Amino acid sequence: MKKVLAILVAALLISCNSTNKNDNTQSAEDVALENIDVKGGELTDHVVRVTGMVSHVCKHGGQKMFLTNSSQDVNLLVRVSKSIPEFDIALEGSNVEVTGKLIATMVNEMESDHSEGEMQEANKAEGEPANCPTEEAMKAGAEGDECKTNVTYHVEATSFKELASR
Amino acid sequence: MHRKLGYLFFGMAIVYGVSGIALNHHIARHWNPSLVERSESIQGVRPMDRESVGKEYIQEILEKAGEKDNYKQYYFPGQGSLLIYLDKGHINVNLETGEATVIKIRNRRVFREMNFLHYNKPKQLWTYFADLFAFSLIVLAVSGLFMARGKKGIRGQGGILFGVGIIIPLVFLLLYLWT
Repeated sequence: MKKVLAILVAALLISCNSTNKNDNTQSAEDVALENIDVKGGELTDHVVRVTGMVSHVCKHGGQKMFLTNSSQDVNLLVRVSKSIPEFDIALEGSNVEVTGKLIATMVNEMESDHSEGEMQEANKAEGEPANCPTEEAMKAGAEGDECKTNVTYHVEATSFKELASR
Repeated sequence: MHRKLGYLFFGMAIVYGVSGIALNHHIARHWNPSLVERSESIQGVRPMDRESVGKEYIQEILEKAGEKDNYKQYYFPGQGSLLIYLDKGHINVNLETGEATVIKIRNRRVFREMNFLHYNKPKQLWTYFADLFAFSLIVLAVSGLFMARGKKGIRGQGGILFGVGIIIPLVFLLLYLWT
């Protein structure tokens, strides 16, 4: 029994010592929020550093938040990663600097007259519209006849810090 | 073994039990177990064009709300709406009608901490400790079946309760998932 307790305590100490050591701010590339869409292609899967005001923190678990720029015309989704447990609701309205991996997500959008409900039903039944290009084709910039490709970006945060207010 | 695991994981059972009830009702949309929200409407706020919103207007609203010292920044979530961020809350303003509500938000003590653990937000080593707890629950459940013997054991009253405990989840699956 004493051995089991000793192992648990040792494991706990090792864990405490190894947490929050993911400081990759040195190798991160600074990107302005308004340039995410323009530079996103070349920076996908790279470590970036962005700053902005937290416009919203998810109240149901604090697993994501949105950053906006000074002109409030961009909203960037930021998600937690393994090294960040959650975003505190108190961050809303604060300026933060976030470092993390930029992730691109492909979204197919039909250019036909299908309503959203019909689209959802079609997608549910068929998985994906038959005329949509493959993900590889999308990356290469190819376009299907009836689909257009939207790429959205978000940051998987590995660290963040609150900055002084504007 | 049953006794030792029972002592060792008493704290975990309380954490997971209490936060389990909280999360059940969170999913059922009865409440948010991690946050406490209190809202109050603000009277006398003037309607305003988005373009005309400035320091003076924000100051006026903050004074009416009694939140002058808690101001952080403001934001326009939509064309006709204004959000004024406060320390621990915000003010929602409908710029077209002048309707305004101050919403104060704070973390719900104890439940927040328990949910933090239940959701595995610490990740890392907590994942394995929680796995150990889950595995121990299985051991406790199985060993518990054979602790009492005779009429009150698995071959008597215990067997009936055991069956009922298996049937109830199956009935719910039948009603809500498998039909």
